[in-house]
Amino acid sequence: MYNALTSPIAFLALSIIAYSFGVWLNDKTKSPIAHPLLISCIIVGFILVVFKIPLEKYNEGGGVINLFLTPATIALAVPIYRQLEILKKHLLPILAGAFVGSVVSIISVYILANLFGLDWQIVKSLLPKSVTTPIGVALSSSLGGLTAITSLAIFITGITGALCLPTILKLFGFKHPVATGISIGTASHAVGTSRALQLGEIEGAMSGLAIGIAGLITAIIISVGSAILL
Amino acid sequence: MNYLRELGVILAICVIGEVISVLIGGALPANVLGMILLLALLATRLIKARQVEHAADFFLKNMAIFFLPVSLGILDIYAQIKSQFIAIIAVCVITTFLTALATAATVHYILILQSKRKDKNKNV
Repeated sequence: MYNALTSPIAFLALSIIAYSFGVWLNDKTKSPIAHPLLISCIIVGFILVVFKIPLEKYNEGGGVINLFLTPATIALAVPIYRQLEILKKHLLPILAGAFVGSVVSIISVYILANLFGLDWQIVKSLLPKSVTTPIGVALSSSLGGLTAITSLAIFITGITGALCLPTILKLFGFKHPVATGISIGTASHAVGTSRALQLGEIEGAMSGLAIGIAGLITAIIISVGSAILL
Repeated sequence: MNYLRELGVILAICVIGEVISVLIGGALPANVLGMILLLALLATRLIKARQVEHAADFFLKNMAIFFLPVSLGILDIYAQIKSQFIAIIAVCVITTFLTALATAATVHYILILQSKRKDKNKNV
């Protein structure tokens, strides 16, 4: 019985069902906090803890999902390609905005995390926290960070962006939809973009493009930076 | 459309990304290299969008589930990071604001510069 319920297929099924429930709840509530990843994490985490199932056992099935992380990231090229005309039209603002945003993100994380006295391994895990999860997790693991922390930090960042950024940007007088869109996408990736899409078509398109561009720029900055500094 | 063939194309690009990543000493992660490669192949029309987009859309639409195993890793390290949890949240929230404002300000001034240059061209 125990073996049947803890087979790789069982954990695969559990993950997909928990995630599907998260998607359903997200559709119903329309709230960024009801994020399918958070919901599924809580459900699966709860079951693993209650039934004292070690994470290794879960990963016999979960590993199959993990395997598709790389192809999922590569798929990000398709939306950039679809928006290529918009990218060309606003090339300078997108590149400059995503570049400055990425630099500010990395530097401010470095300074604040050290100020708060966080462990070096946690600091490394937080450095790529503004970019989309597939790129951030890959960068964190190449830096020797803890990918679970990176995933959590990226999630908190996305929620913060979706909930607060439209108001904050307005408060500081940034009204242009191009500026708002690029800013939200660069600072809070896909979760923020889901909110930017509600602000307007231009905001959504700009934010969506900024996810990929800021991800690429951050990858290059962190890779080059760590080659020089570490 | 054939999902399996599209998946095959994307997986082949993954492998090429891995190979390039190893060749350049791991300077960039394989998935980022694969993404650049696919974008280049699409832009040069060596691969047509319809040859990969259905499989790609499947990944994009369900992107978050692929992070479930990674995120559950928190169960194993929670005891280790418990004391630093609040600080981690604070860092994430504050830096998100700083990043967004710096980005918005940059785009804002570039748009002003661009519209000024356009006005100048009109006057000449």
